[in-house]
Amino acid sequence: MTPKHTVQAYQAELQQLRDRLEAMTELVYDMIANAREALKTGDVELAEQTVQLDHQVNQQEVEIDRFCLEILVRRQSVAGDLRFILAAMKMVTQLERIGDQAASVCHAVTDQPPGLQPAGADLVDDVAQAAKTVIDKAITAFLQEGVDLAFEAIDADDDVNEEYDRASRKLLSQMSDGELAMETGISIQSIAKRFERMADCATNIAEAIIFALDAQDIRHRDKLASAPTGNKV
Amino acid sequence: MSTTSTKLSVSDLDASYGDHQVLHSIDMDIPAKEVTALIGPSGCGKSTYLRCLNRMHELTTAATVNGTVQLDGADIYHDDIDPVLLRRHIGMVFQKPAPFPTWSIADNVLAGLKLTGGVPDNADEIVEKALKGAALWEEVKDKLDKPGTSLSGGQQQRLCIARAITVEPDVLLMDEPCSAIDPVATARVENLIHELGENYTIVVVTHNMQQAARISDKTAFLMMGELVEFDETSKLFSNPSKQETEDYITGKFG
Repeated sequence: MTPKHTVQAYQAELQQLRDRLEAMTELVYDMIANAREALKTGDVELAEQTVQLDHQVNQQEVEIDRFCLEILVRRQSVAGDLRFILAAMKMVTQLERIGDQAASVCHAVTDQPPGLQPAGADLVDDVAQAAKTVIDKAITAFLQEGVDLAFEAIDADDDVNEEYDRASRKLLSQMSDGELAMETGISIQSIAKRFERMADCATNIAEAIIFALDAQDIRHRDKLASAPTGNKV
Repeated sequence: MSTTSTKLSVSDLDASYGDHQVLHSIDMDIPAKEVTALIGPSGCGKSTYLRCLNRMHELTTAATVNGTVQLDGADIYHDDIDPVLLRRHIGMVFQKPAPFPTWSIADNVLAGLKLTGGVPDNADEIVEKALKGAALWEEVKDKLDKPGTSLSGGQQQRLCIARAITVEPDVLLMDEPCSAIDPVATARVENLIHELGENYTIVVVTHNMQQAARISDKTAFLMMGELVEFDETSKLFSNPSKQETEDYITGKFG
């Protein structure tokens, strides 16, 4: 049996924080799926509805942050509870950014640059699929409290970067050959970048989950390990 | 800057009241010139442990101690050690401030010297230095001849700390020093503990975990008479190594 807090109200607050995070996660997940669908089909109405969801995401970010602050003030959380609340605050920031990226993809759909469907959408779909894998793993890691899954999410981000590079090369080639108008090519490139950034945000969420569950701060681990030490004058 | 050398070395320490064993085989190196907090649930033995560190535990009827406690390498339980003189080196501040009621503020500060050998000629200097060290001088410098009990609770506690540091001990033991004083007085005493930690080895028992987190360099968690975990305070309160510690400091039950 997992021990529960002696103060039941505190236990309920932490559960409520988890529930709110799950709700925000679902909303952002819907935005990503909608953005992908709207991009494939050119469904402007779906794109516009999805942009509206971003307001809810923004509101949830502010509300969850404030709720975390209230818990910290009232409970002076420590250890695993403190790490969970700190991770929650980081998660909502990253979820809000993912929502922004999804809304930007939808804005591109509503702008309807020529050639976006179906050719442009096909070009970025591999990036979007790879990004979805990272986001799925990160979110599942949160829901199932799985450190291994969080590490898998971080590893999977390499695939997103590869797909993004591949799509960029293909776009550049098509623009050079005159198969694709510059304006359209740049717009598609920008959409691909949005999905790549979503995966980066999901990676940050995975790092926050690892910190919450395992107390490991793995941010910039490789870069910090190889950075020169000593004071700079 | 604090050092990392050991001031008190506790090894295989058991303590009992008659048949009731309260402490079980405690091993712990208490670092010099740092503040070490002892936390744990009521009845876990933390106050008993503190009282073993200056041989006050043995003053209780039927109390026994086994194991060793070394101060700078010397066994404080050795037959040659005079417990009264030992307590000049290892002073104690209690939960409830207890100045000598009929003595003046100045006499209270000098109590340790009066009771263990006499007051030197520079008594005024000693009083001023100790009261400044206890962050009380400015508040009492014009009424040193007034009774110690005329002060507020928080001031009385700082007077007791001044009394303890007058004899220039190596170690200061504090048993719940803020539990009987208000939040403002608590903040002053906490501030004082932090400052004294620069020059003294301090071991403080507290029920208040936030207080332990605020004032100590290291924290020990005791449960049912056993030392569960002893680590840097920042580590213990952010990522404790033992599940029992995590459950206790986050307020969980099984």
